[in-house]
Amino acid sequence: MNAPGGWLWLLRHELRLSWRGVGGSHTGLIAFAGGLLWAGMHWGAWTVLPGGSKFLPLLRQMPVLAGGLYWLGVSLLVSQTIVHTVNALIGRGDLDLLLSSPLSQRNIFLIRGLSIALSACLLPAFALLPVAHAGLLRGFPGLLAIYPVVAATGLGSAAAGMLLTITLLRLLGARRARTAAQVLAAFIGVIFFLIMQVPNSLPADTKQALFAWVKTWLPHSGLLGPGNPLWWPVRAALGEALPLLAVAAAGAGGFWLVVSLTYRRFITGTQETLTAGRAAPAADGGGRPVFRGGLLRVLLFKEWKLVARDMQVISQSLLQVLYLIPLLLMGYKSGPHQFLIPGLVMATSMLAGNLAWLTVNAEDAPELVATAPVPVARVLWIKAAAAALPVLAALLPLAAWWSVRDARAAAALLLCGAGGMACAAVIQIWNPCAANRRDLKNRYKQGGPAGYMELLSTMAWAGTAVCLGGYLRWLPLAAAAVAAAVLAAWLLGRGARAAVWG
Amino acid sequence: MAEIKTGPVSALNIKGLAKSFGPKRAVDALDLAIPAGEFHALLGPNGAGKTTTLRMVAGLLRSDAGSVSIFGHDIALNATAAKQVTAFLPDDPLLYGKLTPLEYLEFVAGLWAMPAGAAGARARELLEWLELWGNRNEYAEGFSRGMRQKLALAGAMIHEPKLLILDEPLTGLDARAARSVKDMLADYVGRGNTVVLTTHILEIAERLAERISIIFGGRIIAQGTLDELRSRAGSAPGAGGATLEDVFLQLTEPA
Repeated sequence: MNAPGGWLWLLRHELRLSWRGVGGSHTGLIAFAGGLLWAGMHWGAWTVLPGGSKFLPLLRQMPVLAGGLYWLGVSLLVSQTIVHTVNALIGRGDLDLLLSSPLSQRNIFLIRGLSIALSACLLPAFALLPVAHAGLLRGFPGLLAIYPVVAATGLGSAAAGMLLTITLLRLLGARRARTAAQVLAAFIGVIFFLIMQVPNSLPADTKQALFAWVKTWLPHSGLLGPGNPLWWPVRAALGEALPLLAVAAAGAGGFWLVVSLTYRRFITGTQETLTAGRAAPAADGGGRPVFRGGLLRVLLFKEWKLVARDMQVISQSLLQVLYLIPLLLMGYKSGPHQFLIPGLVMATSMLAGNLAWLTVNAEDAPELVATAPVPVARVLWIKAAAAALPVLAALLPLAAWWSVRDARAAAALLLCGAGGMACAAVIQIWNPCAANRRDLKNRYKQGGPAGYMELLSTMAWAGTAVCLGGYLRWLPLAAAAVAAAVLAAWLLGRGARAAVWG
Repeated sequence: MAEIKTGPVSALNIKGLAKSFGPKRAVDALDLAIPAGEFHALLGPNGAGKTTTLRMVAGLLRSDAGSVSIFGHDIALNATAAKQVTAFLPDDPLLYGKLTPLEYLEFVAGLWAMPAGAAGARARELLEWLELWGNRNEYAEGFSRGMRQKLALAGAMIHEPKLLILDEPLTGLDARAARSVKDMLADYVGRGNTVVLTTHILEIAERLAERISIIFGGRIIAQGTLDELRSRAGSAPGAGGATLEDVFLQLTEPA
């Protein structure tokens, strides 16, 4: 079991990889800080629990709030396991090695699933186990049931995440599934927040009527009443035998079922799509190719084609819009300057930053461009223009439409949006560094101080938009922040520019 | 080293080129002159400094000392003019996965400011020659190693550089593709262009190269035609006794 090739050995290998993925080079520091925080949480649970004699029975009677939070947590865990599954099955690229080894294929899949489940358990265990431990010492031994509930929740979330991802793989193939899974994960992550925002965006009388209706209906209804199995995880965590048994069986059973039913399907079907080439786009007439000429045109079109064909970029940009929706909903009732215009300014600036990072830094064939008889600076400026132009094309009609309704708001949007966009692009040009387009998601983490300067500039332009909406006395501060970000980016990039520009 | 024979115009003239990475001297006062219209092979064991030299010639790496001039244009002082007549094909060329061969060649032609009409015709000619015309509308991400290598070669040749620098150009090619690339290069030199290549396959150097330079420890330790190298290594010229491999192994034997 523990010998090389045994399942424990394989699990240890998986966990080591996961841990290195989490901690990077700072694993020791993260473990130490996490340990301190966990000790603090134990102390917190210890001090709060004496009141538990009143609180816990109430929770048993009315588990809706805790249950709602539980399912919110589960939805986030599923979203997390989707990302893990994509990484574990497609991203890591070691399945060919494992599957060609004499290990049982079912075990490989099972262990990979277990490692995903363990990762999913990490956060709930971190948050809830201090309560179980304090409960034991404070005379609520039933709370130890949190242990199996956390385990079952991890297993169940992993099962759901794996099932969803494998279904996507089957339906879409590996390349598109990766993107679809990312969008799905983010959507699941954000959906509860969106639902919670819905009442806020309703008119006051409708909202009151809705709450009154829910209040009369809630305690008596079978669906949302305390007896509903939907809330059993809460009762299980409080130590009730039947719900505990049911939750444990559902989590472990669901996991076993998904692993048993899908591993063969994944291995025989999906694995093939991982290495298969892309089907050819429709063929042209076959005559003499018609080329465009001129550096500006070929460079702009090349960058636009690469961005438009990169599903990851498209999905990443869509996600940014998705995360913006709550902000826009909040801004629905307050004036446009409070949330809406700053939100749009942030979106434009971040989108331009993403695109400029891709075009300027994530050049796929840097040696080709470097050996071309064209000044590097000229190439970089054209690349930045390739990033800024589509964003400007989206911004202009929006500002034009707004100018009919509120000219001042439109002017603020145009000024700050274009400013944020230009600064984001310029910061990329001043801080060139070779990168891989796949790292777009982690670009702030890996990009060093320039990424932070870009974030500062984005925030400062959004702040400028707020100031233009009626807080003019703060305007110099916002403008100073913009200037500071741009100046710092210029100073920080001197070394990188000298190396790249020559 | 013997006086290097140069024609009226040197396609490539390297003088005292040096590059260190930390304490390691990768290229050490290297001199090399290659006349226009020559097929020149650069041989050397792993880590001898071949790729570093070529990357400095292509302007991808800055030298610590020395100079490189291509058809009289210094790569450090007049990079644009030097690059205009040069193409460099690295050993593991990076392509755009999401561009088709035609789009890739269109882009490369644009970088070298080729007239669009001529570029289109040349692209078709190259892709047909390299048997990629049937794949012209597929994204390069699905290509095999050999197909990628051929596409990169087409990119290097589309703007008809006077100096073509190739780092291990036949890696990953099957026998048929390797043959067509060799024919293509021989034809290219026949039309008055200059080709400099590094290779591990000594047979290519033996068959194609007019002159061979052997680089070892960052310096050129021997240079000449195959016969000259053989005689230098102690075999009678034309005797057919020693192969280039024998000569190479003898000259690059660690002290």
